Amino acid sequence: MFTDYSWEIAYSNFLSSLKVMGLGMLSIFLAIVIIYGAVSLLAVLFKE
Amino acid sequence: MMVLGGLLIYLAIKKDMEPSLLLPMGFGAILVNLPLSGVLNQVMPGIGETTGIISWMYEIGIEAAEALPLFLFIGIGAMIDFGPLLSNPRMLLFGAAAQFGIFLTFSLASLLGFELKDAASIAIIGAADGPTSILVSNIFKSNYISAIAVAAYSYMALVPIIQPFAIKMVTTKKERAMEMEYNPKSVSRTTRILFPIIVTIVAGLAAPGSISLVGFLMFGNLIRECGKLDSLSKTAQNVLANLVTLFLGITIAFRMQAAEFLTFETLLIMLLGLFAFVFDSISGVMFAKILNLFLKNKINPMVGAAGISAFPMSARVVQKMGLEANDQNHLLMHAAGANVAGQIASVVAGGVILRLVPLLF
Repeated sequence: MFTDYSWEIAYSNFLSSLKVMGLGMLSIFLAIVIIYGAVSLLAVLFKE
Repeated sequence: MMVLGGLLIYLAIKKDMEPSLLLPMGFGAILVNLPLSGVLNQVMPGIGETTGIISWMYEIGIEAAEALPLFLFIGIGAMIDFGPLLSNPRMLLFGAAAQFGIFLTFSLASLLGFELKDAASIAIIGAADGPTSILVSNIFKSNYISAIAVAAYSYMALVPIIQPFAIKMVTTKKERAMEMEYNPKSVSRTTRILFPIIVTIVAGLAAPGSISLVGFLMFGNLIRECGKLDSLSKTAQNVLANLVTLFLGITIAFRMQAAEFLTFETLLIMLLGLFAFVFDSISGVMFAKILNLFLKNKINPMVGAAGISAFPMSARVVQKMGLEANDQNHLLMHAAGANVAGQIASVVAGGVILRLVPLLF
């Protein structure tokens, strides 16, 4: 890995990883918020 | 490698570190590193190629369709009681927040020079979820699957040591002593049954790559909650989970051949895995602190750290630390809610990584 280390490639991958970080956290929160909404709705619809 | 195998067996037996996985892995490491080992495929003079059992188990159980990690998810799903989460659904948010360490580690590993597929596989150690780590690294055909599996399971066993350290770095004693009221709402059986189905559909649509992970986890939970398959549920929780863990351990050992494992990268992966665990915990705590700026009923920030997937160890750590700071501070049920949310969010994170990272190749 370090024998053929290239700063240009590593930096370019790092920048790409930041995009994945933003999109990834957004997707996870989106999924979780939808599940949150669904659970809250279920609690209202099927109250014991 | 045989010494390392012995060390894993020692840790499993003497230190009680994930013995059901580390013991078979350790023994498997000895098996695959014996010269001309018959458990691996070999070319024998005059006979041709012979199939070794561990090579075969790896090809069928992991490489072909990640069957073993997925079967384990059925057992895990059957073990989880989502009740604490369903009665306090805002805990779901902590599950999401505590995945940030994964992405931070992905960036760091990329900067260190790992290929994107390897960096993503290493980062998913932060999901604190062994089967997810194995599945993601196998789909990406990472060269470091065995090191990743060892790191993921070792750190899960070390949660009671790692998390207090991480939590204390970002909280004061006053914050840790903060009490929270617990007023659980009753959860209907219909809600418990519909929950796994809804989660599967939502997570499947948001992160299609996670559908096998989420689907099998929620299938196990549906077996538990439907009320008609008690015998199957108990079998999944005990026999299935134990048997699959045993086979998974010995199968992963296929990738613990000396030439692949004894490298500087393995050491680096262990450090990056630790980084991911620590920053997952810290991000959960910081998220709770941010939420507290807007909430009337404050949340003990430590509950955020329970948003990682290591269930139930993480919830127990938070409960213990809460009691250390204030002997009237019972946080277990809140932390358990965040902890099971972490189970869901971690598999979603795995799916998100599987979906987004290949777009960069």
